[in-house]
Amino acid sequence: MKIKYKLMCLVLISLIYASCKKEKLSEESVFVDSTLPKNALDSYIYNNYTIPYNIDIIYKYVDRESDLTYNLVPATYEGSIRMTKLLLNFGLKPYDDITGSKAFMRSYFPKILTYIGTSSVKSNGTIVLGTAEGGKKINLYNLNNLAANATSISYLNKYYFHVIHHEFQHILNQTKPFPTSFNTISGVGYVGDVWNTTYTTDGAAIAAGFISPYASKEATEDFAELYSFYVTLSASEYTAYLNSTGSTPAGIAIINTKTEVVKTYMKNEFGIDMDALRANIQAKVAGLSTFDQTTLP
Amino acid sequence: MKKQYLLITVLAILLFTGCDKKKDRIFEDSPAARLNASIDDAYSALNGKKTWVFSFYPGANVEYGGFNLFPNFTSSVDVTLQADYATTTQSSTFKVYAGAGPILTFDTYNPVIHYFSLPGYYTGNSTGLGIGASDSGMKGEFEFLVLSSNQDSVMLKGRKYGNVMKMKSVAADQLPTIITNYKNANTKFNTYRGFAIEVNGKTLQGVPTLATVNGTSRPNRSFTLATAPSLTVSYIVTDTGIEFYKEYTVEGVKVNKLTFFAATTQYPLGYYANGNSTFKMVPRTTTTP
Repeated sequence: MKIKYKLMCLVLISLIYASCKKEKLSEESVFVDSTLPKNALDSYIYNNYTIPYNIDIIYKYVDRESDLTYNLVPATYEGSIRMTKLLLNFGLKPYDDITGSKAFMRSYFPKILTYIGTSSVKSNGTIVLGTAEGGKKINLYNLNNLAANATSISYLNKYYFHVIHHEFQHILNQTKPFPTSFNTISGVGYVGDVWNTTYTTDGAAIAAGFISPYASKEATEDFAELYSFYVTLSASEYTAYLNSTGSTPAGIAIINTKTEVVKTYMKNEFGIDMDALRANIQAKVAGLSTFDQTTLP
Repeated sequence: MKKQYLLITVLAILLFTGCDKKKDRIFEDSPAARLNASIDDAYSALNGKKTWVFSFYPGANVEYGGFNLFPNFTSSVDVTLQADYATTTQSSTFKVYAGAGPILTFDTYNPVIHYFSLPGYYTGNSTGLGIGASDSGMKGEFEFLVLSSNQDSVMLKGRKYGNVMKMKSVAADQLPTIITNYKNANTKFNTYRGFAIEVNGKTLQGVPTLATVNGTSRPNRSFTLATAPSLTVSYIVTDTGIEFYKEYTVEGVKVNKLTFFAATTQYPLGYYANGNSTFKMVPRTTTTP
C-alpha cells in the first residue's frame, strides 16, 4: 500500500513538471521605431542637445509628457525653434564656459525638456510658469507668446531663464544637499502654500527676508529662488530689485546672509563661482537683440 | 489513509491546472502588428486623399455645435488647416501614433484647430468676448482616436470628451469652391437668431445662445427644444444645409440631415427641411417669433 501510494505520488508530481510548457516569445518588438522624416529642428536638437548633452526636447505635444490636470495646447514650430536656440545660448552655454566643458551640464541638467504653447491656467485664473519633475524633466510653457517678446530679457527671464535656473538648482541640491544651517536662517518664517496671500508684493517678501513671495514657501524653494534671481539679474538690476518698494534693510540683510550660503555651496560642491556665472550670462544678454533666434542651419 | 487520498486528489487537480493555458488567438496577427497596420491604414487614408471636410465639435456636450475645418494632409508630417470661421490658411504638423488604437494628433500649434483648446484666459473671456471657463475654454480636442479610416471618410473620437466626429474626403481641385460654399452658408447662418421648428403639426422654438468666436458673434449651432422631455440638439452648417451631430427623434420624426431651400413668400429667409419635408427649420433674425 505504502509503496503503491508513494509511486503514485511520484508519477503525479513528475507529470506536473512535465505538463508545463513555455510559450516562445515573438522576436518582433511591440515598439516600432518612428520612420517619420526629420525636419530641420529635429536635426538641430539631435546635434546640439542630444549628442553633446544627452538631452531630448519634446517640442511636439505628447499628452503623457504634458500635465493632464490642465487644458494645454502644443507650442508653435517657430516658437520651438526660438526657445531651443535661446536656451542653448543663454541657459546651457554659460555653465559650459564657467566649468570649461560640457560635462557638467551633461551630468546634471534634466534629460527631457517639453514645450507647451500656453501656460497652465488654474480654475481661479492664475497661471503656472514652469514645472520640473524629479530632476529629470523641465516643462516650459507659454511658447506661443514668445515671438512677440523675444528680445525682452525681463520677459525671457520671467518665463524661461528664471524657471530653468530655479529648477536646475533643485536638481543640484537634490544631488548634493545644501547645508542644513540654511534652513534655520528664516526658520519658522516659511509659510507653505499660503505664500501668495502672505506676501502679495516683492517688496513685502524682501522686507521679511525672502527674495520673492514664492521663496517664502519653504527652504528648498527659497534656496532655488535666491540662486535664480542672483544669476539672471545683473548686479545693478539685482540691487534695484532688492530695493523694491516696501523692502527694508533688515530684510535685505537676511537675503544677503542666505545668498552667501548659496554662493559657498555652489563654489564648494560644484566649483561654480556665481559671480562669474552672472557676468558670463550678462555678457551674452548684451547681444540678445542681435541674436539670431529663428534660423536653423 | 484519508490523508493519502486527499494528497492524491490535490496532486491530480494540480495536474490539470498545470496544463499549458495558451489560448488560440482570435486574430492571426499579434495585437502590436494589428495596431501598426491600423496606423498605416490611417496614414494611407489621410495622405491618399489629402483634402478633407472635418465636422469638428468642441465642448464636453457639443454645446457649441460644429465647425467645419478643412485639413490638407500634405505629407506624412505636414498639414494645412482652413475653417469656416477663419480667414487664413495655417500650417502645422500631425502624427498618427499608437495608443488605445491609432491616435491622430495635431501636435504643433495651429490656430485654426487649437483655438478651441485654448483656455478662456487666452480667448478673452475676461473681457466678456471669449467663450468658456478661464481654465478650460471651449474644450476642443486636438487628439483623436481613429475609429475607422478609408479613402472616403475617417471617423474620429475625441480623447478627452469622446465627441465622435467625421472627416469626409473631397477632391483637392474642388476644395477652394467647397470652402467658399461652406463659408457663405455659415456667414448667412450667423445672421439668424431664432428658428421655428415645424414638425408633426406642431411648431417648436429653437433659440441658440450667441458666442463670440475669433472676434465674430455667432449663434451656437445648438438649441434646446421644449419637447417632453426637453431635447438639446447640436448640428453643423454645411454647404447644402444642416447635419445633426447624431440622429435625433423630435416629436416622433427622426432627423439627421436637412437641406436648405431658397426663399419663398411663406418663408422669406428660406428654410431647412428633411427629405420628405416632415421636419422644417425656419430661420428668423429675431430671438422671438
